Amino acid sequence: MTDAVLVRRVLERNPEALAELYDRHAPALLALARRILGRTSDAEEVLQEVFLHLWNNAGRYDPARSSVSTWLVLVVRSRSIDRLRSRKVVDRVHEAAHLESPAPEHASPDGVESVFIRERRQRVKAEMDLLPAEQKQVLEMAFYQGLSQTEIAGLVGLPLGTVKTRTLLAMKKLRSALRSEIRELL
Amino acid sequence: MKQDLTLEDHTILAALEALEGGTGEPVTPHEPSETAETLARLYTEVLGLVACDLEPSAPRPETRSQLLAAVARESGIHAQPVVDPIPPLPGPLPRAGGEGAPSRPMPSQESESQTAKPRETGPRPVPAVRPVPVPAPLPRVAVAPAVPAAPPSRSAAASRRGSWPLALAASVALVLAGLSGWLVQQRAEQEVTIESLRSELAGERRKAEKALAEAVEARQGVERMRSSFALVTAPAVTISPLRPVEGLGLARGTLFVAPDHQHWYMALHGLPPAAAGRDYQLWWVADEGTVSGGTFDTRPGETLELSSETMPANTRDVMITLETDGGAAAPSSPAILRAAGVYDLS
Repeated sequence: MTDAVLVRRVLERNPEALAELYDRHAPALLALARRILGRTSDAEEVLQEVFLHLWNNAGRYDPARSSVSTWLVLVVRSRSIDRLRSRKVVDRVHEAAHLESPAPEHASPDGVESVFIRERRQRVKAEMDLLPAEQKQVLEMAFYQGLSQTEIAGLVGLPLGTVKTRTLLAMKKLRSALRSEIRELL
Repeated sequence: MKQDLTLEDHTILAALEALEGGTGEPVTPHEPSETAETLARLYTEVLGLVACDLEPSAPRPETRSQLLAAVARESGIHAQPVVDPIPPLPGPLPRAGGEGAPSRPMPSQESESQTAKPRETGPRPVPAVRPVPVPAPLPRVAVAPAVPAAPPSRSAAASRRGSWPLALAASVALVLAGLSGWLVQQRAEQEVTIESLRSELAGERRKAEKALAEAVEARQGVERMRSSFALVTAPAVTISPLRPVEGLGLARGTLFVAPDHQHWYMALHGLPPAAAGRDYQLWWVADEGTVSGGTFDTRPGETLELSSETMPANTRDVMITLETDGGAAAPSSPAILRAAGVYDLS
């Protein structure tokens, strides 16, 4: 059953469909939230929030605009960055209070991702690694840290135009290199 | 950079702005066109794939249980066995379905067991079981297909025979649906390719325009050279060597004046570049006084060529001075180069 069909069933208030979507996507989404937030506990809270959001807002999913997996990735990313920003404010007040050290990176347990997803991940990783370091850097700063192009330019000490050019190049290369992966998502 | 932005560039920049805003929404098309929508979709998926780079990590089982419990609370569903694996219940309650059977009755089985009861609507009642602690997840039980206990009756067989056109129609519909999906996908890809080719074409056009401008400039240069050559080889040309007045010992020049005493050509060698804020200025000394012939500057090692179709009437002398940037109304400094005689080659 495709993800889109499962979302339709979620819209019909079918909890089994939600559970199936969770089982399919939670490991990758948790990894994303943890990459942004650093703390596993925060990341798991975001994960729960997002799936509750899906439960209550499945009607907002538009299959013409994105695949389900991408939609979930964008929502998790957005929630995680919101949390990161608000946490930074709190952390400034309560310096390092209750600071939990980031959970160690651990390999996913067997069976947590399907062969299909694993192959896709390996392809994406390979293509990301092929990007020139300076292009990968600006793309990751935008994606994982939620920084604007202007902020990135300030941090890396480069003109805004250069940062934009690098990001444009990185995105175009990924689009070209991941053509078959994108096709599978359409 | 802005001048060269393509629709694809705009789409990517919109994607980046969406990331900054953090709305979690897919990329919005830059303009209301099919191509823009396709590009927006493609780059939305690129963003989704960026996160695939990460090694997945399994959430704690409690996270799943808590989520599903929250979902059940929100929607008033208390049927926790539906989605969450549960441990076997003790006592006389048997494990649902036994081995190889689903963990709860399938809808058809459920309806069979409730034939005498009115159909329930809304939330199902809470089963009278003890609260279940958060369990370690059990392997999901595969749903076994229902195996008929007896051979199908004749009426069932006849019904099956009668339903094959329906099955065929469904299959054809499925194939058509798949085909149309494939066609839509192909079209989307073609749109992207067209956009890419348009972008390349625009680039090639710009290159061609630049090459044309260079060709025009080169042709003008050739025309100038031809004109100068005709001038310096004219039978009645007048030549005036320009010599340094003082200081600039290396500078030299030659002025060629056509027989009409209007058209002239000058070549200058060894003039160093003017200092910042200064320009060289050419002066004609004629009956009407000292008239400016214009300002110029040089580059190191360059032979400077000047020419014009006009010259003041009855010009008797020519000189070059160094003036403030933009030139002066009259010479304000001593001449650097000056005509040293006039030689008529006629």
